[in-house]
Amino acid sequence: MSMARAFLELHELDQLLAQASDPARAARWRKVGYTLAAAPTLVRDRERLAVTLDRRWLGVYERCLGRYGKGLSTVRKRVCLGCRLTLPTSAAPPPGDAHLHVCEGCGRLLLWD
Amino acid sequence: MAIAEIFPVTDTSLDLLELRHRRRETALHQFVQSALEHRALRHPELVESQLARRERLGSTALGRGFAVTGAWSLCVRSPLVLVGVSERGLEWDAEDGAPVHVATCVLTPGECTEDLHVRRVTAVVAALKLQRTRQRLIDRRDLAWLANLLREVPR
Repeated sequence: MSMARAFLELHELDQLLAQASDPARAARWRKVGYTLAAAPTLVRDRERLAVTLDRRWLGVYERCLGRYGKGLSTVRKRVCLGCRLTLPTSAAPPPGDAHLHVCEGCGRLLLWD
Repeated sequence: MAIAEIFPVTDTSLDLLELRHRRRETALHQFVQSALEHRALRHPELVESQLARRERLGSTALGRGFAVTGAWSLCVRSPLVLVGVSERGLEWDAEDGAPVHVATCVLTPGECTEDLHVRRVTAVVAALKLQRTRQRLIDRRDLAWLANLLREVPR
């Protein structure tokens, strides 16, 4: 599993956990008719995934998660969809390269489309 | 200058599936495979595990044979609503214990706001809330009628 894909999975897990743990967000889902309960197994999944990740990148990810609520952002047509900064052409990874990159504007990890 | 949004002639943002199996996990797999055919996903295995993990937070069955699941995810490239029909019924761990005959999967790209995803799910729940609407869907399998029913779902 590539590091970029692992961070994507971590991001997805964090968003799910936030839906359940944030009272305002959970209340919106309850209003639709769902019952959301705490899921300790998801927390364990997250811990298990986090220990496999590079600590330096994990630090960057978690800092942005704390600041913006999302530690990862996608890039479309060279624009970071987190902060709308147009990234320089040189920032684009070569095709097929799944290395991690950081947005120069917001500092989030970037997922190139 | 007037700007009009033009939808493609064959709008593929909706699909009606025949859910052939009895288990929820298999139905979720079928939804993901269908979304993949619509080129609406990247990393389909992540979306499938996301849908399965969502079920661990609480069943997405809303009772009386109806379930609406979905994902708001960076793995989703374009918004898509998939509706699945099962005549035999699916085991979905519903609170009322009833098997699910109509299951819906609402996929929203992660770049959109969570608010939009909630509004999309709410619109789908509202459109298919009535038992007679769902029964008509099971009986007729009419995609055009379903598209008309779900026209209020934000894109």
